[in-house]
Amino acid sequence: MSEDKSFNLNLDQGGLTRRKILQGAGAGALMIGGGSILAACGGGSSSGGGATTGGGGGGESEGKPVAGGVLRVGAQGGSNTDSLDAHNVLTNADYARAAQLYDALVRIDNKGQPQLVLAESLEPNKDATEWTVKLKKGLKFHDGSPVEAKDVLYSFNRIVKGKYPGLYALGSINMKKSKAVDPLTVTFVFDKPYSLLEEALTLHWYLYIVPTGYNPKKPIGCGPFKLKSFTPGRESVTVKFDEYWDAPKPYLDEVKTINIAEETAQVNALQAGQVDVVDYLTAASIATLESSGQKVVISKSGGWVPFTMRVDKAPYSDNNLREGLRWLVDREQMNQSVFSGNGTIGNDVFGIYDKFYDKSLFPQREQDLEKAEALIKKGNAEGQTLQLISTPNAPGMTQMPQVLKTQAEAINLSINVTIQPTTEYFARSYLKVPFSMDYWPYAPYLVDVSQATLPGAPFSATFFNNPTYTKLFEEASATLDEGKKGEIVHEMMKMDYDEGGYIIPIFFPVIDGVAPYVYGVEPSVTGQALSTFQFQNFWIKK
Amino acid sequence: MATTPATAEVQRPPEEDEGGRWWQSPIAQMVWRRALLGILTLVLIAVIVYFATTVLPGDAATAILGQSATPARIAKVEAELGLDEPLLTRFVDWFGNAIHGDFGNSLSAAAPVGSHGGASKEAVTTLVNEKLLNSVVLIGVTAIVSTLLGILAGMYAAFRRDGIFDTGGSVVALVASALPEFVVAIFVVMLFAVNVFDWFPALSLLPPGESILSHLNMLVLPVLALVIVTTPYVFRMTRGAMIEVLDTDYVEFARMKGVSPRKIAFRHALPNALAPVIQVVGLNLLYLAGGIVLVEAIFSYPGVGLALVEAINGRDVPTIQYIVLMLAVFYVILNIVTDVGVLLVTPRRRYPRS
Repeated sequence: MSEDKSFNLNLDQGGLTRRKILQGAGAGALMIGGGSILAACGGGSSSGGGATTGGGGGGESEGKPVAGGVLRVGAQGGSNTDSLDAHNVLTNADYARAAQLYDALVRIDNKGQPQLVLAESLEPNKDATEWTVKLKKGLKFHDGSPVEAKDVLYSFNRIVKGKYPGLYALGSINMKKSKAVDPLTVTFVFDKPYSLLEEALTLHWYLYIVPTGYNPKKPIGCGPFKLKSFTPGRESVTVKFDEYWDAPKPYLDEVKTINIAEETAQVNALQAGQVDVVDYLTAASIATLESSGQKVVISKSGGWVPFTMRVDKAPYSDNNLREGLRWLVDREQMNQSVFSGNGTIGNDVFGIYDKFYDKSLFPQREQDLEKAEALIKKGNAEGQTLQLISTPNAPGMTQMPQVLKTQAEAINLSINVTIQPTTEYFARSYLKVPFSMDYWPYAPYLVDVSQATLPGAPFSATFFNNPTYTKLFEEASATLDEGKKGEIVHEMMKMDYDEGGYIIPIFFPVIDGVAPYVYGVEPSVTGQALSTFQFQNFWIKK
Repeated sequence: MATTPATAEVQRPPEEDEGGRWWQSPIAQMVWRRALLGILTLVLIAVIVYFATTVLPGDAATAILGQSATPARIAKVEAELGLDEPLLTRFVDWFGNAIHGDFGNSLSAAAPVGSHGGASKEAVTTLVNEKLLNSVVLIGVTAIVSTLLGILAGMYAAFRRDGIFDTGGSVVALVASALPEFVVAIFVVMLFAVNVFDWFPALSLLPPGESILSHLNMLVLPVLALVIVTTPYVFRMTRGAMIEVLDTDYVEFARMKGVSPRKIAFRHALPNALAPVIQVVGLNLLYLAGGIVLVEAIFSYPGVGLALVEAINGRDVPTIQYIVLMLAVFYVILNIVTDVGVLLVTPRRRYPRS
C-alpha cells in the first residue's frame, strides 16, 4: 500500500513551484485511497525484483564508466521563464541546464568543499585585497576559442553590471582595478580584504565563465555539453562537448532536459521509462520508486528552510520569545512527519558542512515545553496569536509551519499559518513580514553570513544587526590565518545559536529518482538535485 | 400539447411564407443577437481581466525573479518589460493592437533559441496557439467519444430498463461522476502505463513544434480519463430523457402499431429526448475547456490550461488576456451552438407562446 501514502502526499505536499495546482484539489485526496487499492494489486506484479538499491544511493557497484547514450532528465520547477543565461538562473530547470552548458573557476563538490575547476590556482596577497587566479591550460569554449583571462573578467563584469545574483559572492570586488596579467592570469582587486573568495566561488551556479561578447540567445560556455535546441517551458537538448577540459568526461552523448510540472507525473514517467532521472521528489515517492525497482538517491543536504523572525519587530525583538520558540520545536517529530526522517536535525546554526562547523560547540536543542512556556511568557508573547506566513517554494515550506502550529498547541500558543502563492509571497511578504520562512541551498558559513545576517545583507529576513557580530565578520574576511578564522566563526555561530533570528529545525533532504541503469549520481550536500546537476559524471549501462 | 393546432397554424415558420429572407428566421435572429452580445461580453472581459490581473499582488518582474528579487533587479526587469509605463497607457496600447489581432508579447516567456535569430520576446499568439490547438484536439476527441458513448449507452439502458446493463451502468456512472478527474487520471496511468500494463506513454511529452495528431498514442490516456469523467452525465441524461419519452402515449402507440424497436428508438424517441442531452454535452464542453488543468498536469500535456495557470503565476498579463479571451470566445460560441441545437430539435420552442 505504499502507493496509498505516496499519492496522498504527492497531492497535498507543497513542494516546488506549481505543485500547488493540485493542492487546490486537496479535497479529493481522500478519494485516492480508493483508487490505489487496485494500484497496489497491480504494483505487485512489477515489484518482484524491486528494492534493489537502498536509500543511501551511494553504494552502487558501478564498474568502469561507459561512454555513450542519451540521458532524459525529468526536471521539476521549470516554466515559460526558463532561461539559459549563464548568470541569471532562476528556475530549478535553469540550474539543471546551466550546469550542462557552463563551468566555473571553482565548483562545490558533493561534500560541500571548494574544488578547482577552470582555475589552476587561487592565491591571495598578504592582506587578502588581491587574488591572483591562474587558469588551466588548453581550456576551450564550445566554439573552439580558448578560455582566457579576458573572458573571466568579462564574465565577472557582466555579473556586477547586470546585478545578477552572483554579485553577492564577490564581496567588495573592484572590476575597474581588476586586470588580466597574461592570457591565463587574472588579478581581482577588492576594496576591502576578502579572504572568503575561494569559499564564495563555490556558489558556482551564479558564477559561470562565458566568452567575451557572450550572447544568451546563442549560449556558449565551456561546460561538458553544447546546446542543440531549447524551448523554454518544454525541453532542451544538449550534446557532448568533445573538447571538454576534464576528458574523458562527459560520458553521455546527449542530455535531454524535459520540464515536468508535477511530482506524480515525474514518478510515473520514470516508472514508465519515459525519463531516466527525476529530481526534487518528496519523501512520499521513495517507497513507490523502490518497489518498482528504481534507485532513489537521498542526499542529506546542508540546505535549510528556516523559520525567520525579525529581531527588529515586536514581539520577536525579545530574544526570550525567539529562544522559547526554539525550545518549543520537536525537531525529530518535524523531520519524521515532513521528510519521513530523511532530513538532518538542525540546531539553529547554518553552514553545517563548513570546515569550521563543530557540533560540540553548543548543546543540541530538543523540545522542552516547560522552558519554552516560561521563556515565551517572559517574552510577553503569552496569549498572543503569532502570524506565520510561508509559501510552497522549497521542500517542507508548507508543512513545517503546520507542524509547528500543532506543536505550539501543547503550550496553548496559537500560531496562525498563512500559505501564500509564491508570486504573492515574494512580492508582499518575503523579507518583510516578522515571522516567516526562507529557503537556502548549502553554502559555506561565512558566505551565507554575508548574504543573510549582516546589516544590509541582500536576503536578510531576520534583520539581524549586531555590531559585534558584524565586526567579527569583518575580521574573518580580513584574515588568512585559518586558526584565527575558525575561532571567529565559532564565536559568530554561538551568537546565531543564542540570539539569532532563525529557527533551523531541519536541513532538508534532496531526493532524486534514478533508473537502475544510470550510474554516477552521488548524494550531495549542496541542496541541489542530481549531484548538483554534474551530468558529466553520469553514465548509462543497460 | 400546449399549442392548439389553430395557433400553430397562425405561426407558420416565416421562412415558408417569406421565401429567401432567412436572416429573419427566429434562429438566425437569435444567432445575430447573441453574437453581438457576445462581442460586448468579450470587450467587458478584456477590461475586467486586465485590471483584475493588476490587482493581484506582484507583477511579472517579481514573478520572474522570485526569491532573487532584490529592488535593483526588479527595477531593471520592470524597465525591460515596459512595466514602468502607467497602467492605462499599457491597456490602451494593448487594446488598440488586440483589435488588429496583435495580442502583444509574453512578459515571461523568451523565444526558443534558434527559432528566430536574437529576437528576445515571444508573441503571445505563437506561444499559445500551439497549446490551444492541443487542447482543442483533446477536448474535441473527448467530446465526440463521450457524447456517442453516453447517448448509445443511455438509450440502451432506457430500453432495457432495470436490466443488468441499466442497473450496473447507473452505478458505474454514479461512481465515475463522483470521482475527481485527477484521481481518474492517476488511476488510468497506473493501470495502462505504469503498474499493470505498459500500453501507452504515461506522460504526453510532445516534442516542441509537433502536433499531437502525429502522436496519437499520447492522446489516448488523457482522452480516456476525461471520457470516464464526462460520459456519465451524458449517459444519465439520455437515459432519463429516453425513459420519459418511452413512457409517452405516442411511443406506446407506435409500439402497438408494430414499429420496430430500432425505429422507435432513433426515429420517434431520440429526437424528442435530445434537447436536455444537448445541454449536458454543452456543459461538458464548458467544463472541459476550463477544468482540464489537473489532467494536463498529471500527463504533462502541453495544453492551454497549464499555460493559463503558469501565466497567472507569472503575472503575464498579455498571455492571460489572450487565453481568457479565447476561452470566452469558445464559451460564447458554444452557448449559441447549444441553444441553436436545442431549438432545432424542439421546433415548438422557436416561437413565442401566444
